[in-house]
Amino acid sequence: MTVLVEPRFSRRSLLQRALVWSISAGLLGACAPAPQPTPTPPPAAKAETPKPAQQPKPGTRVVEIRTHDWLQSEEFYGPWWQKFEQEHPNIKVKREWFPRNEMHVKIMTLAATGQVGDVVRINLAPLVSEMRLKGVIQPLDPYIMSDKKWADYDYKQFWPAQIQTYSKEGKLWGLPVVGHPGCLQYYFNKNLIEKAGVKTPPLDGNWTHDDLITIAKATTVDIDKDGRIDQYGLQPCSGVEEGVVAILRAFGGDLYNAEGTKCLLNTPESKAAIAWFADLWHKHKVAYPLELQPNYQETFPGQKVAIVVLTSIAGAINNLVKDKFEWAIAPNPLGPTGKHATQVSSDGIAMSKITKYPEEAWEVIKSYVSKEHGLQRHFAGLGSPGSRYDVWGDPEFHKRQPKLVPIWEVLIKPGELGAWHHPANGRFFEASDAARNILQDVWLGKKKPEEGAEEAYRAVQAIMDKPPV
Amino acid sequence: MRGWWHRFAQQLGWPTSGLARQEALYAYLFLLPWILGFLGFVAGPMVASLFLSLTRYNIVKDPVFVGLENYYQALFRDPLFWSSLGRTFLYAAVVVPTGVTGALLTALLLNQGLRGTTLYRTLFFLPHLTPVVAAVFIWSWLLNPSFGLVNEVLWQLFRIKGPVWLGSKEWAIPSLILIALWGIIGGNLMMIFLAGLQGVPRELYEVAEIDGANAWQRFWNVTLPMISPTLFFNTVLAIIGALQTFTLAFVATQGGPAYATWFYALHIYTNAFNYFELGYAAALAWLFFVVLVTFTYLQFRFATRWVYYAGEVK
Repeated sequence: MTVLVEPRFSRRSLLQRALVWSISAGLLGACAPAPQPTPTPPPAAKAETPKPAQQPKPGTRVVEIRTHDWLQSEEFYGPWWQKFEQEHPNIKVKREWFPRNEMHVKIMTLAATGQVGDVVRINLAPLVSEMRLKGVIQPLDPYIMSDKKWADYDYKQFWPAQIQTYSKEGKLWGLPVVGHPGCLQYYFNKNLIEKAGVKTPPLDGNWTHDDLITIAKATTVDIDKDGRIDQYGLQPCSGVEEGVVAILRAFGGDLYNAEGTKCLLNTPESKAAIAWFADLWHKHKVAYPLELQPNYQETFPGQKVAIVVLTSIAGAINNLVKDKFEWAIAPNPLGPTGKHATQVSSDGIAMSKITKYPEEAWEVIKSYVSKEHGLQRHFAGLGSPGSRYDVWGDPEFHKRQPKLVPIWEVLIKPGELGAWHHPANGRFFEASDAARNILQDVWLGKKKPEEGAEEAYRAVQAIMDKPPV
Repeated sequence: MRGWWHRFAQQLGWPTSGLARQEALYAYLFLLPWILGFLGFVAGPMVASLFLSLTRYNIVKDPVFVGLENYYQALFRDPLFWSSLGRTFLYAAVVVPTGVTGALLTALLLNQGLRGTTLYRTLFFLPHLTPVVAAVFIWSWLLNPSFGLVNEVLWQLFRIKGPVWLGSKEWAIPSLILIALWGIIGGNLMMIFLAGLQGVPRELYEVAEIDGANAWQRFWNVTLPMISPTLFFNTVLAIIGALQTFTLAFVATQGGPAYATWFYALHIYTNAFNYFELGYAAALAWLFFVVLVTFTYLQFRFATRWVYYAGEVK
């Protein structure tokens, strides 16, 4: 056998030398001063390369703030919090992700075991009452009052309806991270409506419920004449808490009173609204049947509906429709009250009651509700924009989301948005489930609107009369 | 002293000799992990839930003792208690007889010793191996009223407008029953029946044949009595399983539309983990436990009339 390369060491000597080197290195290491902990390198940022980290001032301790979110986008949040830590060298942000459906349960369980962290996500605005009553979160007022610069500008950017939603007993318990005026934005297919020979919904919002019915009737068609409707005029937003409330308010009714102590489904105005909504299916027969479980992701891009009522998800619809047809978003029609009825929607952020570092937690909260976050998160395709005037009024926002401009101009800018009323006793899910299931019978034609409204009222009021959670 | 202890241990059936004691010790030693698990994860939580059922407990704050208030609330004030219980029994009343009969018939077919039986047995068992959540999603697509395969086939072949299945109040429970039966008929029940059928002595069939019994008479007078303990066991399991049904409704319909599939287990879950009324949910669970125990007791009580154990002396 020919040896092509002579080994420099025998296997035994190699092992011996390796052992000596390891021991020497260990001894040297032990004698050397303790190394500073090296932070874990952050994931590569696509958007912006952060500048080198500032060193904390001598004598400043570094505080770790635990927060959680349902939106796990390392691509966006990696660089976002990295930048935050550079701007706040005394704060480290530790994030935890939960699926949104499970988030509230997880937070409550963490709260029960004293592990909820410092900054708490409010999965849906009305849950603020439950979290307050259970002592999970604390008021933000002291931090706002001691932060004059923020209070003078940023605080005033939040829609008053959102502030009202998050306020209880004269204190503010959370702030909206993202938000929109409600599930009342009418996404319409221009081509289908024009083909039907009727006027498209006006972007200035100057149209009525009758106009809506006219358009919806004209665009409800059995295209292949086989006895089955192939294209419906309207896919309403039938969620009680976000969609139906807009209709109730358009008629002067509501689901709950502002204090969250009374259910208002039994008022004449609410009953009229419920009857009008049920008529979309049973009298006018223009609404996509609920039994068919319509999904806007399929129906609107698939041109099976001419109008679909949604929240501010123009970006997502853009991605779905692409160049298939022309579409736009109109503000909701004027109801019998003559006003554009709205109910703001949002998910929020709050400070946990158990935090030991409230000042630092407040900095994290400010970052979540900042204008920059509200814009960039939306531009990254991660959901609705921030719930602030300077987000929706931003020229860059208008440039990138021109279809949402009518919503800004007609519904948000005038400053008359409605708050998200909810049960003051913190029983939001309970009341919401009861109203949804009972009113579903009305939408499905199994109960008369009057009867359904009365039954839903009794069930919801019984829940609102229960003691606080 | 030793004599007294010896007699006492004998009376209780405890081991008295040194060897027997050592054997028992080893037996308990090996059983210990299970016993600890049972105490920690079954008996412990059961006792805790009994205590919680007497409290108002929202998970974050400490439980507040309310006596029997939760039980009163469930029985007399909760509009969903009786309706969900009734709906669950209705579901079980269809699923259990259909599922058990279907499983028995399938097992009888597979017990004929035909070629390819092993393959068929595997194929029939496959639905049972499919995770319930995955099965529900597949069935939801199949039953989708707009683009589902089932309605499309009905329309294309027979020009029949299929029902709206899970979206309709009338069809939601039948749809869930259909999905459940798909998993039940070829599942564990069938395997247990098959094992029972294979345990019936051949000689009994031979004797019956000599006596001139036809296939139906052999089934009715030999097979059925001989597998009656298996039938009883499967029926008890099927009833308990059907009454505890949860996942199907939770994934497919979330209890809707308009409470049409709001089963009792879903009612317990919603109260516990959506509304955080853990004390109330515990009371609901204990009421259900009483119902199940009563039902199972009645089945055992009446079983003596129709269940035949070979070699049993009455």
